Amino acid sequence: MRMKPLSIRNILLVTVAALTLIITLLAAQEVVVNWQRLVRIQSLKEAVVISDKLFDATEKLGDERDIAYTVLHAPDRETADSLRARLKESGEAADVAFNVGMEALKEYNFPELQQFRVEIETQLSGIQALRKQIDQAAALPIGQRNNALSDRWFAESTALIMQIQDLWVEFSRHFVDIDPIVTQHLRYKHFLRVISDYTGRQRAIIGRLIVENTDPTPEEFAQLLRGQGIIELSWKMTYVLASQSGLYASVAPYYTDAQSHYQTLYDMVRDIFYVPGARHNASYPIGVDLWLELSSQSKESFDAFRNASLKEIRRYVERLEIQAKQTIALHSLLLFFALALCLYSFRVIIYRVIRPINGMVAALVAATQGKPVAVMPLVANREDEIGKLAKVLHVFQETGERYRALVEASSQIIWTWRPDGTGNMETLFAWWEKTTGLPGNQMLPYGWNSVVHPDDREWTKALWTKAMAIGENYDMEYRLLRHEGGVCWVYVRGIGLKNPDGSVRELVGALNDVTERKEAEAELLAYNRALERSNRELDDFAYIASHDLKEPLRGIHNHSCFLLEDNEGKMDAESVKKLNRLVYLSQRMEHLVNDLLYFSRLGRQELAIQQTDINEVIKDIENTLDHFLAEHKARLHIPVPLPTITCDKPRVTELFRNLITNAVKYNDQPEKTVEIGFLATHASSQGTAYKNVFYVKDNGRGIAPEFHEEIFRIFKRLQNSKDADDGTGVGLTFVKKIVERHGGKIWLESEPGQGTVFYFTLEGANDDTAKTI
Amino acid sequence: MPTAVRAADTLQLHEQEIKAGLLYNFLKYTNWPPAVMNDGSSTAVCIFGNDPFDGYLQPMAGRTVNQRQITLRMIHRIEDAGTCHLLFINADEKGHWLQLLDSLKGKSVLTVSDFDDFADSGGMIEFGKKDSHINVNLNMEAVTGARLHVQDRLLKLVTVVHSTSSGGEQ
Repeated sequence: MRMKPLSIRNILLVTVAALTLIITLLAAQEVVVNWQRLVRIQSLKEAVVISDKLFDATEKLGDERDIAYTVLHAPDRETADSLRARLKESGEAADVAFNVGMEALKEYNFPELQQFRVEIETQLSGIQALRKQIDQAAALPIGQRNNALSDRWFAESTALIMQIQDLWVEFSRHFVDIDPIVTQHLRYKHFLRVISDYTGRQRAIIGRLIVENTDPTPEEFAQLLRGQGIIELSWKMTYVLASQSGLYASVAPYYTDAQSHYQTLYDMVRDIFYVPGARHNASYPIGVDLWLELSSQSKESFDAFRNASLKEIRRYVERLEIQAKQTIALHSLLLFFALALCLYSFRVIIYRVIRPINGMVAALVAATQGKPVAVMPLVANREDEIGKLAKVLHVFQETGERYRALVEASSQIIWTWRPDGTGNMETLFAWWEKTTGLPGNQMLPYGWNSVVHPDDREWTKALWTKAMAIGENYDMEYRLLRHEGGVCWVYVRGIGLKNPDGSVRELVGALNDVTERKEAEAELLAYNRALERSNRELDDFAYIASHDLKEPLRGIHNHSCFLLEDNEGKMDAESVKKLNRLVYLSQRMEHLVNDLLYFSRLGRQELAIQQTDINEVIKDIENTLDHFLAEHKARLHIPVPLPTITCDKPRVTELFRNLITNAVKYNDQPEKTVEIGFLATHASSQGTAYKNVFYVKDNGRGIAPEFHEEIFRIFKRLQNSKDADDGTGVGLTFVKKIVERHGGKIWLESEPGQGTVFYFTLEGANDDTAKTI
Repeated sequence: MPTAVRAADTLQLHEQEIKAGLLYNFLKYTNWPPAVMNDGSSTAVCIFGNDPFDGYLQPMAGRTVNQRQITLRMIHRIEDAGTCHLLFINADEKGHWLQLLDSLKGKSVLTVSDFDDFADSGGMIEFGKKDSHINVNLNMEAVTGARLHVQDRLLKLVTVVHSTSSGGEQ
């Protein structure tokens, strides 16, 4: 089963919807991820505060540990008492810090913390018990104190400190994956804690040595050196970690102060406690009070550094929080815009693309079915691609309509045919069936040929075969056999339309029933033949008549002359006069017959066509008429050189001579001028434009318009003359005949007293150079 | 007894180390008038006369206190003393003290020395000894007279004494 293919509209909509969904999901995911991150950052922020509290608790406990240790080793009551207040104070501070830290921690129920809590509670109760013992021991005289207590205290308090430290490291571990810098900060804090712890231990050991006024045991000495190594390494590590995590710039002043102070304190006691073998016989130049105060002051510098660091770390986390919020806001905004954009795209695609295209498709489908529809209102005044497309389709649609109208308006039968058998052939079939009786469905591809007149069958079939095979245009006029008898002449023109690959796509043709025209043509041809025959007979008759007439005329003339010669002096004057008249008339008659003979020859003989330079022709005439022109005081004028044309040279010479002679003869001006010229184009007085026009212009007496046609008639003279040389009145008739034999036309423009211009062409009215304006 | 002499010398030496270290805490917990602190970003520690610390003070140079770098100067002329923040007077120069004191009148210079009666004679901080331990006396009048202020933490390191000599600054 084939699925119905998705329309472009559906594909577009589905694509946009999918894109919208993807963008929305991506943006939403970003928002959710950042929201989760924000929540984690906020919990980190709280955790940092808590870990700082725990940090603080370890610091306070360290203080207490060191002071208690010193108290337990105080040499005298006075020293011990002086430190007890400080001990109490630090113990309380440690408790407060510890409780605050543990309380805050209760909100978190990480499973491993529970274990820590239990252990810490146990350790803490041990510390509480020890505190009481220390308090009691401090009151005892020096010699009665138990050294084991101080060792136990130092060990247990250190263990608790380590435990709390492990606790906050463990606790913080839950938050470090939020940001790599946070991990660095955790390490950084760890090293701060190490510095603080080991500085405290050294303070305690040195404090005890001073208090007891003893030299350090080898273990103590080893502890001091090891502690010093750890402290120095930790100072370096804090510097490295602070630099890497971007903290250093903010804490640098505190860092250098704290380190300077620590280093100064160390310098004070280095040679006393840290140099092997340098013993003072337990005679130290510094009292325990001063030592504890100095180390406490150094610790103060360290605390300032530590606090600045913790504050900076908290600020870092706050910045993380702000960044996360900004990211969420930005992504929410993006999400909003993405959705808005997608919705807008949806709208544009539906309203601006799909609907107009649907409309156009529907309109065009309707248009192919011949229904008049409007494409343009769907996309009125749009200048975009759809608008342009609609305009183009509109033009096509109009063209289609115009085509249909043309087909309907045409008297011809117009059809189209495609090799697959489709096409527009109903009209053709209907006409064909009506005319030949051949059913339309049997016509193609070759059925039609069976009703063609047998004489026309083969060649029409050959043309049609060629047209179908290679799309060659054809043009044929043939006879069809009517089913009621007789033939019908048709004229068929076919145009082949080809595909880009050269194969035939379609043949478009027009069939015209030309039977009437063919019949008229046949009739006309018959008339023409009759006319030609009549003309030829007339020419033959004129020739024979004039030829045969010459003989008796010559006899009349000769016999009249004989009569005059033989009877000279015998006849009276009247008879002589009449005989002379007879001689004159017979001579005149001979001229007329000669002219008639010549005229008939003009019509009968073929033209001797050759390249002829008209300038030479005129020069020749001028030479021949030399005396005539001089006698009449006439002058030829040729304003521009004349062309070389193809014509019968002797006839054209005669044509010009006749016109020139006439122009001189019928001219009573004292100075006679004859202008012979050539015009590329000239319009006759009837408004017809001619190309390549010759003219002969005189300044003679002119001819009245009513005679403009008359003068070309044979033997027609406008003035009677007794002079036989004056001509028989055939000159212009010859001229006209010569022009016409050359396929040209002659006309004149003239008014009495205005001179005359004869215009003529020699290239023929059938030449396409002549046309109507 | 060579050993005893050596032990005494060593002790003496260690005293000097502790005194040198104490100077840092004096710097840390003393407030100079703002005008004095504004003249530069470093805090000047001067020793008048030869170095009694045998080089132990040298590492102090370059360290910072209250976010200011410490510079060390050895001075031998009285008129140079006024530009210091802290002036340690070598006990060997005791003979120049009154002259020095006179020249420091109106100047905010914390004076420290370890000869007897230093605090009594108008000096501010005097290193002494009590029960073989270093003991520090501070002449409060001299300090306040120089428009200096010492913080409580400093007072925890010292015993406040009052000058009996007419050289005390007011």
